[in-house]
Amino acid sequence: MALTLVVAVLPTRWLGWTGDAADIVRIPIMPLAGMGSRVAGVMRPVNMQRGVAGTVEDMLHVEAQRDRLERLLLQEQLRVAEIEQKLRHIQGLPPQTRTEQPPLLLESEVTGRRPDHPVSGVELHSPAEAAGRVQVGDAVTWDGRWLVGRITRVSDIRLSALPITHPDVGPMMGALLSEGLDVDVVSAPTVRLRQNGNGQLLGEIDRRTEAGIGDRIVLADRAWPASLQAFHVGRVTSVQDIDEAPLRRRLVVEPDVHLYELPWVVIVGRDGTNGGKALP
Amino acid sequence: MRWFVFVIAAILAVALDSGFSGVFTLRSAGFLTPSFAACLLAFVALLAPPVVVIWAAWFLGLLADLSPGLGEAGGGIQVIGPHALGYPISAWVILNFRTWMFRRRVVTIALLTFLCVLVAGLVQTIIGILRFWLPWAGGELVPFGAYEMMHEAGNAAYSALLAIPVGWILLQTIPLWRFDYGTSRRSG
Repeated sequence: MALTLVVAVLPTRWLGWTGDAADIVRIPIMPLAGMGSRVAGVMRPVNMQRGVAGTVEDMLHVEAQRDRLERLLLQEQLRVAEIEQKLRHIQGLPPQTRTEQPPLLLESEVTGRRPDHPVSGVELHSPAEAAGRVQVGDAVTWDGRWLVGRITRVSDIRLSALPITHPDVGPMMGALLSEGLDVDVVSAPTVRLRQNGNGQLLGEIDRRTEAGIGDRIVLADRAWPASLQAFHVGRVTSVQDIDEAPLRRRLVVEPDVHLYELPWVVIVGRDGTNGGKALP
Repeated sequence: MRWFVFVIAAILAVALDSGFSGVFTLRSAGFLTPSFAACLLAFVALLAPPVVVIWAAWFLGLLADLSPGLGEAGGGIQVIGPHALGYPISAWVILNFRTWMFRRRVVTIALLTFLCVLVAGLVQTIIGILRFWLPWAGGELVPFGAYEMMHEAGNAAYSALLAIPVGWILLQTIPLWRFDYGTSRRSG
């Protein structure tokens, strides 16, 4: 018991071995937990009807397709804006854009989760094709639309991921898109989002910027791979005044889809473009 | 007690906690989630010999601490202690009280499950405070505070509810375990 107490208060830099210990301990547990996770996914499916007016299945399908296409459009708009900026500065396309490769996409089953807190990490099955291709910092997505987390540890046996709302994932830049048909992502205000540790993201904007509850936030951060730009991060759930900074307002952003409720995810690896550096 | 039966039950309980328990999570009530492992611990702590109970509690706690969850930080770092210490401490408390309890009652298992989860939560809070204050520990990895204690109390109450059906199932498996618990007080 005394030894366990000593281990509990060891310096963080001396706890790296606990990941390896967890790998070994989880070998017999993972298959059973994976089955449990599948059953849980069937019994309590992801609630896809949030914010949808109708309840018809076809409508949900069409809406999903529309969201995916819209995300691709926004992604391309951001890309065009970036390339325009580069053209203005260096009078030509950078060489790496000509060697662009498609990103790695890997479906992975969630085999472990303890959803007693919205920022709990999850354990993912390591597919055979993931060997040597999935890296720390790769993104975890859902349904081709939502960015839900980031890979934090890769081993031969399993992958660990944390939700984007976990403080260890770090701040990210997002574009604020108001609800409506005319969405101009290039001129949309950007907001730096940081995690509050309670499953939400906080950002600050200029008071004159129009923002309301329900507005969407999409990823617009060059520190993430180009293929992930314009993925949905979440929606504004609250707009608050800041006493210390009267000229700014605080946005509280909550993800539409949470990592802890998903039975499987898609890992998006690095593509051949710039950006997409590993987690700091 | 047959150790291999316990090890299989422990693996099953932790697998249910880390794979299936999300079905029961009350997302609108602070993400309260019951614990199958605590139900198993309460059952074993009531019926197994004292030394075996402490080691079984430590083993179960170790499995729980090395499972994905809130104790996991970036880089796959996991803090061993909240359960690996909390479960043996709660088992020790149960050992001190079990002679006055009706051991084969579902209600007893439910009450002691509440105690196990609460003590584990208390130990988690203490470890969180220690890691926050000790200069070498490197800061907070385990959350702590009044909210966490309220949350653990909710988890404990929810786990006690789960222990009613789970405890009943475990009581039906008593012949498999071959407990050598000597004289005990029985109901009825």
